[in-house]
Amino acid sequence: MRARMTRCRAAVVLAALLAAAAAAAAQEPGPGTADSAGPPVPTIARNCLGCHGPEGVSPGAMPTLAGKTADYVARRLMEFRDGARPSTIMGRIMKPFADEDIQKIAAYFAAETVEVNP
Amino acid sequence: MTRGIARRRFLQAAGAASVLPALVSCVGRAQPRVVIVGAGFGGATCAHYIKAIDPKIDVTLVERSETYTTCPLSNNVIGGLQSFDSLVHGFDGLKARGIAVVHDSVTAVDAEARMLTLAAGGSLAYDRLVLSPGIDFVWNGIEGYDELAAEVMPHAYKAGPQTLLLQKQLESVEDGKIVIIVVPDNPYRCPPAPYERACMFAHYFKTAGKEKCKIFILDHKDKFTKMDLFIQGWGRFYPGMIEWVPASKGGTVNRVDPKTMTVYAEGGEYQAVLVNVVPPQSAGKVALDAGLATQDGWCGIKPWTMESQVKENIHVIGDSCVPGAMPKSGFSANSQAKICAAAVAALLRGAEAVEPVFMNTCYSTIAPNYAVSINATYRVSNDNIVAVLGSGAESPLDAPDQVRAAEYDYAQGWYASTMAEIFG
Repeated sequence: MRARMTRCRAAVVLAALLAAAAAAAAQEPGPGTADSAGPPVPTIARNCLGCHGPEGVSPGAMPTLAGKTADYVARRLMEFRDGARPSTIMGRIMKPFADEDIQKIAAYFAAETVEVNP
Repeated sequence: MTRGIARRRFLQAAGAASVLPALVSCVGRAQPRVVIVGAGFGGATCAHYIKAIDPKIDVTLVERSETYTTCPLSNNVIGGLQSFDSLVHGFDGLKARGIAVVHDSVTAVDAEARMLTLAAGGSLAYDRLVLSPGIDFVWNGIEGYDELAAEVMPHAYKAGPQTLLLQKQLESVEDGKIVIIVVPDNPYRCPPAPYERACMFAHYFKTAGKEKCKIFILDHKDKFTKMDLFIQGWGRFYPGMIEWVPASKGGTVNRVDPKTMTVYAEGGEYQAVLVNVVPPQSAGKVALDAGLATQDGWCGIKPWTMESQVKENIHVIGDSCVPGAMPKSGFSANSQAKICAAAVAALLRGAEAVEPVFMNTCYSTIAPNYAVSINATYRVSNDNIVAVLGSGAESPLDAPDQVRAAEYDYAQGWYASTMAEIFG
């Protein structure tokens, strides 16, 4: 049960993180609507889970994200963007993100975790 | 009701709804009914997420076939890289999630009565209907290419017996012979697939000692997705074997003759021992019959909900819809299905749909352990789905082999994840 809950929480955390990231990306350079609060979290996160597996548990070559801390994931995303960590596609996905976006992601993620923590 | 907060909590829960169903509380009519037609990347995903977001919704999935065979990775099967069986998926996982799966065909949609008629004689009432029927072909869109012609000149653009027919024909090609791939104008399902298919034909010829075979790609266009990457890959792995003939050089095909195996392109006639015709396409017949087409045989949608622009309470996702800047891909259908599921669940409980963001990632195999990709993120602007600036790109042209190998693994990884997500 403990492991299960951790996995659940990680999936939610991941969802929040990636959703905020994509929302930030969408708002930053994109043609989005200025008066919008931006897309909500799970709306984006579900896109990510298509590659990283249901509930963030990957059955294939993509890394499993469930169980990773917010710090860890945020650091990775920044490294991908900066080219400090080689990637195939994550660098391309993260490219339009500013530092502050990623910092917001981390803060947002910490707050959201509490709210949805079972 | 403190709607803002409640909705926020609801959505957070929905993000992990498959593991947190108890958090999802629903307000609204008892047991609303959703019927989904087509159990592929769009329909099956949508069924799963509607049920996950709100287990109280009665979800029925109508699918002709007893199993689902994916188009993604079917070129790998033709190239001999993996088994046909690896493409085939059953519906037990969806049934276990509480989704009713009905194996039948829809003969009529009554949008006013919110009722479907089924071929077996039954009917299904719905509060909201989601159509995800994929594509159908415009027979004789290329003169002479009809259903009978497809038994001689396979399309293999709906995976299944056609995939096996094309593979069998490929294996019977003798060294030194000419084969042809006919490619239509946009829009069509999976834009890079014909070019990937050329790679898999050539790979097969190489492994079978038939390197003197020649593949002509007769194209209705002058450019195509991942074009530089494909051309680079053809030169490296299959030098002299693949020749792309764009529209500007006479590649447009207007007529075929299956009896003489002749292809009439604007630049001249070609005779070949194998002709693979990717025909012009339209939305699935059920969507056309329901009167949902808005432009050239495709179904316009409102991007926030994926609801038809023409008829209320009917949503169209996947290849049949007009998805703005998104390509018609399995990933796109999967992404649209998630937006649609959230919107349908929200609308059924009297809430508003939330602003969507879509994504697409698409891998193409050039050779074993050598794949490339394209990706983008999309959002809605002026009621249209547009790509977010700077959100995506193709694999770099100068990537080292280990990157291509990783992308090959990730193509398989995407497939494994998405199949697990959809079919359980």
